Amino acid sequence: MDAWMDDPLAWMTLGLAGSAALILIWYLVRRPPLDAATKVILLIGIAVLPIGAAASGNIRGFAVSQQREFCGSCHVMTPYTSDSGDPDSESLAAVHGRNHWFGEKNCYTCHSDYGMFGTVVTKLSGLRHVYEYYTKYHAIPKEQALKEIRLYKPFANTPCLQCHSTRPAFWNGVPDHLGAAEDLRAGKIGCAGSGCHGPVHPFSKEVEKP
Amino acid sequence: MTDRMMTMLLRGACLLTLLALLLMVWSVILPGPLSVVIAMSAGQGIGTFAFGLYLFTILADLRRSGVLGERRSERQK
Repeated sequence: MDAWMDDPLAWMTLGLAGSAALILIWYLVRRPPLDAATKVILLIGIAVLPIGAAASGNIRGFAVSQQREFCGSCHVMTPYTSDSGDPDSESLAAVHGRNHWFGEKNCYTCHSDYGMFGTVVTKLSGLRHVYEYYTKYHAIPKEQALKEIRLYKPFANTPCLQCHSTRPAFWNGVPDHLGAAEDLRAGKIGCAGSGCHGPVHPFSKEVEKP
Repeated sequence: MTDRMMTMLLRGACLLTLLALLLMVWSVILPGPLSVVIAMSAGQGIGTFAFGLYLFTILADLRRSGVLGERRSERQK
C-alpha cells in the first residue's frame, strides 16, 4: 500500500481528525456549561473539522483505491495484479501497465466505467467487489478463485476506445479491423476477445472454468 | 428538553463523532478495501448522524431560551 506518511492529504486528514478529537475529548472530560462559546466550539469539533477530515479522507480514499496494489490487497486478485505489473509479461494487461498513462493505475484505467456517471458507477462496482470478496472468495485459495471469478458482464470496448480511436490509416489498414469497424465503434464486439487482442489475462483462461 | 437530556445527547454526539473520526483515520493509515469502504459509508453515516444530534440539541436549546420560537417563560405559564 502506498505510504501514507508521504501523502499531504493523509496528514491533512489526520490533522483535522486529531484537532476535532481534542475538542471532543475536552468537552467530554471538562463538561463545560452549554453557553454560546461551547456551542461554537462543539460546532467546530462535531461538524467543521470532521467534514474537512471526511473530504480530504475521501479524496485520498478515491486515489488509493485506483492503485493496482489496492486491487491486489484481496488475495484472489494477486495473479492479475502480479501479471499486469510484471515487466517480462507479454499479456495485454502487462503491456498496458508498462505504459505510463496506465502505470500503477492500470486496473482502474481499464476497468472503470467511462459513462456520464462513470466514477460513481465504478465506485459502486467496487463496493460490489468487496461484498463478493467477503461473502464468496475470502476463504478460498486463489487457484480455485481463478476458476470461478469472471467479469459481471462482458468487457466493454469503451475503455479501449479512450486511446484507440480506430480512425488512423494504419488501424484501418488491418483487414480484420475494417470488417468490424462499425461494430467495434458501437461496442457490439470487443477488442479484447480471444482471437483478436485478448485474452487480456491469459493465465486466467488456462484454468478450466465451470 | 431537560438540561440533563441535552447534555446526554451532546455527549453522545461527541462519542459518535470520535468513532467516525477513528474509522476515517483507520482508512488513512491502513487503506484496504474494507477500511476504505467502511470509512466512506459507515464512518460518514455515523458522523452525519452525530451532527444531526448536535443540531437537534442546539435548536432545542435555542427554542427553550427564546432565541427561536417559544420562550421558556411562556411555556412555563
